[in-house]
Amino acid sequence: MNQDVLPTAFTELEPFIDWSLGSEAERLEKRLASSMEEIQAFYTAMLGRIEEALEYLNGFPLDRLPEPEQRLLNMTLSLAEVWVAVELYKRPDHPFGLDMRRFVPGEANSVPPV
Amino acid sequence: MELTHKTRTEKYPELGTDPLPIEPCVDPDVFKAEREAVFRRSWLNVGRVELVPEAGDYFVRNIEVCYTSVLVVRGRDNAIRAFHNMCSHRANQVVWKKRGKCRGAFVCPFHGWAFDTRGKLINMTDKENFFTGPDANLDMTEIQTDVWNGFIFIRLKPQDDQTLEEYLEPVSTSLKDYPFAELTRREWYSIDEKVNWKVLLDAQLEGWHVPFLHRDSLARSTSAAGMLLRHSVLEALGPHGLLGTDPPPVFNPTPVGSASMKYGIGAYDAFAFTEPRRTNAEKYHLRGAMNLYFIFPNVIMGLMRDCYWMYNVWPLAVDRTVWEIGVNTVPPRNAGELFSQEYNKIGLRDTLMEDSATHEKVQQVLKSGAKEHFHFQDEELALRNFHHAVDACLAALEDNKNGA
Repeated sequence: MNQDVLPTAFTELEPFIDWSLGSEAERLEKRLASSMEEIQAFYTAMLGRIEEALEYLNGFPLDRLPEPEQRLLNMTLSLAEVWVAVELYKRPDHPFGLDMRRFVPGEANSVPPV
Repeated sequence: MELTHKTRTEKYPELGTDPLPIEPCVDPDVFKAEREAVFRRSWLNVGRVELVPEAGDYFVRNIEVCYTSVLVVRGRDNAIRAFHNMCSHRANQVVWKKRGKCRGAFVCPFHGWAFDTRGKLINMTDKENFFTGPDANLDMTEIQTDVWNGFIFIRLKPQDDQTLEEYLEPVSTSLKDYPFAELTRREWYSIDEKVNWKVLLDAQLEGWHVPFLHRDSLARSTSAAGMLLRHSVLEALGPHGLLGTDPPPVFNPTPVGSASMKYGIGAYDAFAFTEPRRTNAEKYHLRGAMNLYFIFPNVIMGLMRDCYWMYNVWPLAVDRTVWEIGVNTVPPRNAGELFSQEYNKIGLRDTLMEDSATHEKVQQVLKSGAKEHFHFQDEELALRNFHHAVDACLAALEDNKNGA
């Protein structure tokens, strides 16, 4: 049984493990609940390893990732959530004060409610 | 980019150049007429064939603008049909699940009446105790259905023999080689907005707002002369429309964008590129980097390399509309592709939030009476054509009522 939090080569990212979230809604909540300093720290750490992380994870089938690898993947997806805050808006939420949570994400390939 | 002036609209003299009235976006009577004249009589997209891959597969959608729930099912003969999801007995909705596989029959939960996948009544519970005669048609009410390029459309109240393909011309011919069938991963959002459906669509039918409204986000991925954008293509196609944007002369992806682009391009940075990565798009030539097709009355397809957006706009009331946003990509083969798709989808979501802001800001003051008109410039040709097409539907319904 693998007790690692993250794959061995990526243990330096463990201080940011609370960014390992399994759904878009959770990742957006985390972004909106974090300060820009917290987001920037996660962004900088994750960006520094993103290419290696993706290359490493590409060696695993997407639907059968071991737990440490799944956590690392979730963290890469959090980078895909916060990039807008860091690279475009320079703030966690929207400059117009809009609530992005109103865009309710549906399950992929499911039938919309309307 | 050459800054042309007033070269588009003059090609369509029937559209005129006058300002357009605000009234039809706030008047409940107009909306009531639009339900009948536009939505019940036009072809409406309700999904794609991937939702019903095998015989017996079905899904259900509430089409509130037409006061109905629609059951779409693939029959044993492989044909896709649609029915009003309404029992012939006492009008209960026969199918309550959103999606599933019919094994045998659709059985109404209320009293057990059963229908086959062709909508035929095959069990009338307690038949001998009903007064209804044998001549009564007790099958489910079928809705005209047709499929184009994998998109399932219904038409609730056909007025003519026009096929779906004819209705979609010339869009159907232009898009016959776009690789929709490869872009089968559909992620989607829905947002319920306090806005008239035409105001919502208007915000998507022109790109010249991009350097202004999207100055912090998408503007960097388009080409403009200073702040003034000219579409790479802008055409009225019957009631439908086409517009596009050019890529910027130079595009420098952000740091996360660079990581994403190793694995594909999607709904965000795709604006800036014209080369496909993963799909067989050789036969389909984008006119610019992004082509946006409007399919009357309520669908927008934003086509790029290796992904397309699909907006289905569903009115609920004169001032309330659900905006359904599909982001369609190839199924990701690995973590890198998944990351790239997520990066692009989130960029799109936050950009569309900027559009969404204008919808409700506009609607909130429309009834003030302060202004009576919208002013449409030359690059807003697709909006003008859209409103013109709605008016034509309303006029046709009036003529019909008057026996003309």
